[in-house]
Amino acid sequence: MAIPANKLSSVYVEATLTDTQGIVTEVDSLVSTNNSAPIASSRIKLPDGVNTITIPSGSRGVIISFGALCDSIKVLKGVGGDTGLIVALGIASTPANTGSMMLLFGASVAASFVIDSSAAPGNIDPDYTEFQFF
Amino acid sequence: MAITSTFSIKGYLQGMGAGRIEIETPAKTSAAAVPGRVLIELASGSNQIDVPNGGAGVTGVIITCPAASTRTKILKGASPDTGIQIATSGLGGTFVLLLAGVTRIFVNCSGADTGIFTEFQFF
Repeated sequence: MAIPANKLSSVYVEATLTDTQGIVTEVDSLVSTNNSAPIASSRIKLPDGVNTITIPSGSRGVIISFGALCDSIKVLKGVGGDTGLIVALGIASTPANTGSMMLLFGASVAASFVIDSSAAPGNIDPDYTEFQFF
Repeated sequence: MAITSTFSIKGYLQGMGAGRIEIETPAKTSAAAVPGRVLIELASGSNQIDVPNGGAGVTGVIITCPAASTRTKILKGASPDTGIQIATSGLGGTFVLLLAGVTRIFVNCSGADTGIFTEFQFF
């Protein structure tokens, strides 16, 4: 069987909000499709500080999954000097705050982005963070 | 009864010689969600989007950049940031960010998106 020449990705977000009356609002997002997806993944045990994540050429986006045992604060940034956005607090917070999220990129995306991980001194993150580019 | 939110990211990858690989992240649920929806015609330059409830209790945001826009959009945590390019002309889409105690986010737009709305669904 021939292997398709193009690698294809198709990704979307599915969400529900259930209000106080039990009424459910569903959010089925637009589907992001990439006919020349790089389909590259990496699993990294993020050390404290600035971690520069290289974006493979042709990427439409990335799914970032913070492991269930991540115990440090994670900040999403464009470059190391940015203020950025706090996206995870780790299991050291109450309630525990980890999970998966997804970024889309424009057509002329930079070569990299940054996850700044700040754990307490001597407290190395015990779990991996996964990046699935598509 | 509190407002509950649940989301997951789904999709598939194919073309690696191993058939289609399905993607489905573990569902992220909040039993005390803080929903808020912002529809905005982004102005040229820096646009500040306030997170509902000062960010307290907010788990994340689903952002939809319309493909009809011809503007380049950059996501930032503060206006002076370099940020991350999230959309360009004709290339929009929907993605989801986790947020933890974030009070505001910024989107820099290369020009006014007159008559075209970008959506932020907080949860």
